[in-house]
Amino acid sequence: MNVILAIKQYISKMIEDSGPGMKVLLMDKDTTSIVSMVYAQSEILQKEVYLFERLDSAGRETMKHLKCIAFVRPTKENVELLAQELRMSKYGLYYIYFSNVISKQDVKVLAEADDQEVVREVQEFFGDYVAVSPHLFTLNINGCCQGLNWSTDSLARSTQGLTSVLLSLKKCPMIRYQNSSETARRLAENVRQTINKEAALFEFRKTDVAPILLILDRRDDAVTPILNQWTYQAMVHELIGIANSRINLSNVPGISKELQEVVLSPEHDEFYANNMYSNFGEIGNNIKELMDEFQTKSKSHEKIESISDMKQFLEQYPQFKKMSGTVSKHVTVVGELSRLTNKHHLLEVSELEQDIVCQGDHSAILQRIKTLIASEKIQHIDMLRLVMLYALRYESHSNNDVSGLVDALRKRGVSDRLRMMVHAVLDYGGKKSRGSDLFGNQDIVSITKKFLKGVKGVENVYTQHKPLLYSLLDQLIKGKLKEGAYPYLGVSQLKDRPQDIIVFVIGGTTFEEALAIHTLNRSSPGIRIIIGGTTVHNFKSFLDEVAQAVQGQSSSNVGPRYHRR
Amino acid sequence: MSCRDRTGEFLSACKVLQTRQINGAIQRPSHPLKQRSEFTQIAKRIGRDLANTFTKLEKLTILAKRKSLFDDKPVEIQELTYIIKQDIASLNKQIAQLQQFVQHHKQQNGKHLQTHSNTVVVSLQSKLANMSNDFKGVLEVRTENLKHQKSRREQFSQSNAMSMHPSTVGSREKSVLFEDEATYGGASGGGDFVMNMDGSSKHQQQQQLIDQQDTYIEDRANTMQSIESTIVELGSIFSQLAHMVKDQEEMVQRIDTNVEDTEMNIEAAHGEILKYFQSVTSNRCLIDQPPKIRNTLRFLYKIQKIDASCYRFSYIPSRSGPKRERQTMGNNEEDCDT
Repeated sequence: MNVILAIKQYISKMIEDSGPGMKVLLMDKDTTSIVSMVYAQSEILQKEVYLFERLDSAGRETMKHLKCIAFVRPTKENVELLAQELRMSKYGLYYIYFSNVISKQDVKVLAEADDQEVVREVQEFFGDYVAVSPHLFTLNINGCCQGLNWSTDSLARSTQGLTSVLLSLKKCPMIRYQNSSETARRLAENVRQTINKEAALFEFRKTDVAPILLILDRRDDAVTPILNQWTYQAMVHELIGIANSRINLSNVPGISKELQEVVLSPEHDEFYANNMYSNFGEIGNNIKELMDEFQTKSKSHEKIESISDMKQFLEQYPQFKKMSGTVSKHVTVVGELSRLTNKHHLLEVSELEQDIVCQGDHSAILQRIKTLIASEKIQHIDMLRLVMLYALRYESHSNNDVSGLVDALRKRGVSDRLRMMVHAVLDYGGKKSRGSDLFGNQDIVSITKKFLKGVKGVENVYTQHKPLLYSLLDQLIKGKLKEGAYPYLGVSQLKDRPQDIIVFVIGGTTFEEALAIHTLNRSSPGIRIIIGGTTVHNFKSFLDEVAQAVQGQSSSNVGPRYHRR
Repeated sequence: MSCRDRTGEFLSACKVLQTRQINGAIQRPSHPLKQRSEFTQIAKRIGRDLANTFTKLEKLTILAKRKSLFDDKPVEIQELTYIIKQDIASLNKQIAQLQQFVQHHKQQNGKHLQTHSNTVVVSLQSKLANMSNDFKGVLEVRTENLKHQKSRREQFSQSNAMSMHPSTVGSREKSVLFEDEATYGGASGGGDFVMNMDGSSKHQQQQQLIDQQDTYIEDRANTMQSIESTIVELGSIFSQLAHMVKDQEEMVQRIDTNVEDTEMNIEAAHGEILKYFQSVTSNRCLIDQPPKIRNTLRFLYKIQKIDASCYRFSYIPSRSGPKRERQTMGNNEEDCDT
């Protein structure tokens, strides 16, 4: 149950299958990111793949001495492009790998195009998703819903992605879905359909306990992507933005040229792998340790007196260079994070955010929000966070003052577009679209838990919030997840304690949830959980997602509300 | 990690398509064909005819090389020889026409097109020359065979004459006896008559034998003549070819020297680039600069290609060597075209 490993295996198998000799890797837009997430270029270069090309790029040169490994998604355009490519073959031999099931028709089209008999293999390798970390995958679909329902393309892509995850991990799961969500049900049904259609593919050795695929909807928990984050990975994503494990630092003042775009990949960066789930304070300490280590190393390099010293130096120099790269990278990133935190007073904002979500006192919270909004120091976007959280939390509270807060936002000069998001998020993830008890006010047990927690006091005010997913999975592992809210698709039901769980969040997951899965994986032995989503959100991308999801809705529902205010 | 191999399906689809194409069920979209000039079409036709003639020649070779005395099929061989002879003549004519065509359109076409068509013509001619050479060889073999057969037949036919016509021999003996009888025994006129009868029959039989041999020899002479005339014709074709080769001589010489120069330069450059490549591969910054590698690789590849062709050139020492090479290269181009 390691998605990175799965994709890696696929790619190395591809490269091995074509035998020795110089190779070119031909990819499309999606597979490029799939490959780049798991393999560094230098690693692939070692396997005699010297050239990387995009299938859709024009003007590639003819190089008949190269073997071509084509790894593409089985879309119509790709098949057409491949057919063209085969008619005017630029490389010596072609090994074609599709990242998903391809229709007979398309195989025929390719066969027809293979005039020059250059195709050696046509295979399906089910690596149709982007593996972010061993237990986290994404499909990189931004804005999967329209009018609060699936857009057709996204549904097809999600189904393909999800089935390819199942195939690559060799799991034929029982499917549970969130009952309150139409989108989750449709996806579940589509996945089931695909499994039935390709039954031959899904014939794996039966395990004792069947794996479970749990399909959730982001709308059930709109709070998690709104919150400010304090673990390294999540923070970087929230404040700077990670795209395919690359971050863009070109906006950082005084950045040197080679650090404008850096790669943060747990596969190739030990420090990052160890610290991606540490919180901001720990990172500070760890980075100091790293610095110290680096300093002692660099000092030891200063004294070079004898030939043997030189020899040693030369041997260690690459490692040293690598380390210095890592150090400068992380120091820059953390420096930027801390600069942003101080500049925008994120600590204060975050404390209030956590309190809104986890505490119950309405009037005090409203007061605090008002004072913060009135103060000059925080960003518009953070004000928006607070108001959105407030709106979600106290949607049904008798004295709620959402309109007052939105008014306050207007006075502070927050743009129309952003203010509209407050209502959009209520439409998206408001009470009527939620199936579960997000804030834990109805259940007696959770109220007592909350009360106890209040009595004990919290360790860290900035990380009080636990995503809903955490409690859901906890229940699922204990076998307490309610049948009514999360029914099985089909008749068979799981009696035992589940072992392998694959969670898919429609509308995108977050790094906070990935962290929750990470801790769950660690704390519960024998249970392996993988989480995936249509994308991995930070607040900005979530705003876009919400905006798009609400956009196509019938105007009777949304329109008047906006005009009224 | 599961995967599914669709290669089998792909290959079977290919096979189905191929069979369909052979049956002519699928008409390929022929728009690229339309763009082809008259020249290529003619060239293509000639190429096809050449191939056909080659197959015929193969058949003839098999027939001619057969050494058996009894399973000889002179008629077939003769027919085939005739057909091939005609084919070669017509091909020669066609190529001449093609050449004229090229000459005629000299002004219209660009330089590259011109050289291309020239190479095509030359390659076709060389193929034809090869074929006529083969043909000549086959005919020679045939003549040799015939001679051999004849000698063998002579051997056998003498002994045959002894064993197979005991009556004649016997009659001769008899007649001698009769003569003896006649001389010694003072035989009657009837005996004389008998003797005469015997003599005439002997004469008849001999006549028959001679007749048989005559027709056979005539046959043989005809064959020889036809072979001779064929060889003469071939000779004229060869002289034509020689003429053409002479035409090309100067250019070939230039190519030869140029190629030698280039080879030297390229070797030097190759060494340099290998050095650079090594330094580049050992350099870590390469990882960040794929275009650089790409360019280097491309360049290296080109160098290698030129290098290889140089070797091919230098491998054939004779003056006609490079020319032949040029022809075959042109031929490749032609293949790509068709």
